[in-house]
Amino acid sequence: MTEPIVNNLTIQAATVNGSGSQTANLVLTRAIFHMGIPVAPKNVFPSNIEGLPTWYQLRITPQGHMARSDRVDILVAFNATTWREDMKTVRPGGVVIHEESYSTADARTDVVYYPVPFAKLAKAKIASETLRKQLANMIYVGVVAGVLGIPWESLEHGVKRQFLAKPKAVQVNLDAIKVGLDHYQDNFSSSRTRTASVSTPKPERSASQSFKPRTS
Amino acid sequence: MAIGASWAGARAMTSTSGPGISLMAEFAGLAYYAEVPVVIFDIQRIGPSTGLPTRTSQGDISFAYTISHGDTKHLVLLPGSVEECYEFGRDAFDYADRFQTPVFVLSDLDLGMNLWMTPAFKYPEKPFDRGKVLSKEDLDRLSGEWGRYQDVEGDGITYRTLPGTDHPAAGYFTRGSGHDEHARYTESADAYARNMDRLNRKFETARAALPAPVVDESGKSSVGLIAFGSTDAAVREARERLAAANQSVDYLRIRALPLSPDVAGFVERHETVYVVEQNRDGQMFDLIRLNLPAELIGRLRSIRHYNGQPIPADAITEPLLQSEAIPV
Repeated sequence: MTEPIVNNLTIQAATVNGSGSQTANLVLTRAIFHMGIPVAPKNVFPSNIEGLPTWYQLRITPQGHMARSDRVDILVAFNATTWREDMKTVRPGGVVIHEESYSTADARTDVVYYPVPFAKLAKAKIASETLRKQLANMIYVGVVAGVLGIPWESLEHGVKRQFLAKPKAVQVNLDAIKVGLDHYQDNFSSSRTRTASVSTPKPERSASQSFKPRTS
Repeated sequence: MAIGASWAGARAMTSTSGPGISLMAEFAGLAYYAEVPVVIFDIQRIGPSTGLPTRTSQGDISFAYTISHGDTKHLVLLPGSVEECYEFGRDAFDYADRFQTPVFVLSDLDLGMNLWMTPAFKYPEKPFDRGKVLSKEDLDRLSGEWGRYQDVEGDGITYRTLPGTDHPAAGYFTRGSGHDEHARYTESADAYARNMDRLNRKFETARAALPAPVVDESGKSSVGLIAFGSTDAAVREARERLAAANQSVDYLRIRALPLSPDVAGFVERHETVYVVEQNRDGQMFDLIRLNLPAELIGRLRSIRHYNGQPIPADAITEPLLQSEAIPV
């Protein structure tokens, strides 16, 4: 990216249907909205057939635009089957957060890669085998939070809000997010320049005044 | 079931997507002709047939508007936001009762299945409008003299009674076959034509009562946009982008069918008007053309988006700028 962009970007998560990605995407949505930033999500999914690809787009704009965008700034590539095609949607200079095992040898050279060993991290850091698949998605929430600078307080809000009816699930999901956030901090925070970020709007930015940060 | 419940006096609705509407064609005609209120939500998805069941579309417009055989036409509400889905969800019942006819509320998969930022919904403060319903006291006052399909006020809307009304004259026969003003079976040519003309009169009464278009007009632009439903989000963004490039474009958002006369007025005030919609055939474009005076039809252009993905602003700005020969 040539210029840093703040609160004006489109994130696309390309995942596998039925893997728990919808929950992760909703947590991300709620965390960003909690910061007082207008966010418009769109879920594109196949006919509820488990295993097929699904895409979740988060549109973040100061004006609160709610239409879909064809221009992806940040791709979370979490589906081995579609990731080559998904790469084509990223704008030049955009960011690609991907499973480390996906080969970028002959991939685009005009984007910034964040290779993350999601599968290895899940295996090493998530004790429950049955929850590992779902919580791996939460790890990418942590990495995205690191890339964009989403504060922990907002992530906590997103998780608590998402699991209102299942309070026992809060901590295990926060732990998974922390795995991703720690991985970002240990591996990327010092070596990469933050080119896209989210930041709580200042009150004088009238376009966002109707979306004040929530206090609860 | 919904029509039966409504006939019995309850407020009833059903919800489906396009294929479900296809299956309702026969009963939609019955409710129209027998004049039974009912509310039907259609969360449009892309067709035809099973199509892409998890992708969005605005492809049921012309179908829902005229669904069923014969001369049938329906009231259609077109919410452009989740706030309006809530508002129209409430008002649809008032319209159905007031005009004693099916009311279709056409949302779509983008509006119906995605999360949207919205102001808090306003809880309704006005009472239900149950329309022209005769009570026992009314029938006493009329000495039991009334006709289910008599147009007393000249607005095409007749009086009905509800089952259980405690009066010997309350009952009438509801039928989908030809009937006269007293709900009696007839194949009389005159009675049939009178009834159909009255139904048309009722439709015209509804035209003036349904939600008016939302118009944002500077009075300075020669170019206008017309859209409806969830396309609104992309139109808003497209207009912002065009304004930033010093290309101001006026906007009219249709919120109901039959079309308001405001639509023709808007077209008349602009040299070129683009109708933006999410279907292949330009269904709203065609409906507007049918309703315009001949001399205005040539002003219309069509912008269509139909790949199952919610329409982005680019899909509006690019063809518009190209058509207007404005350098990008």
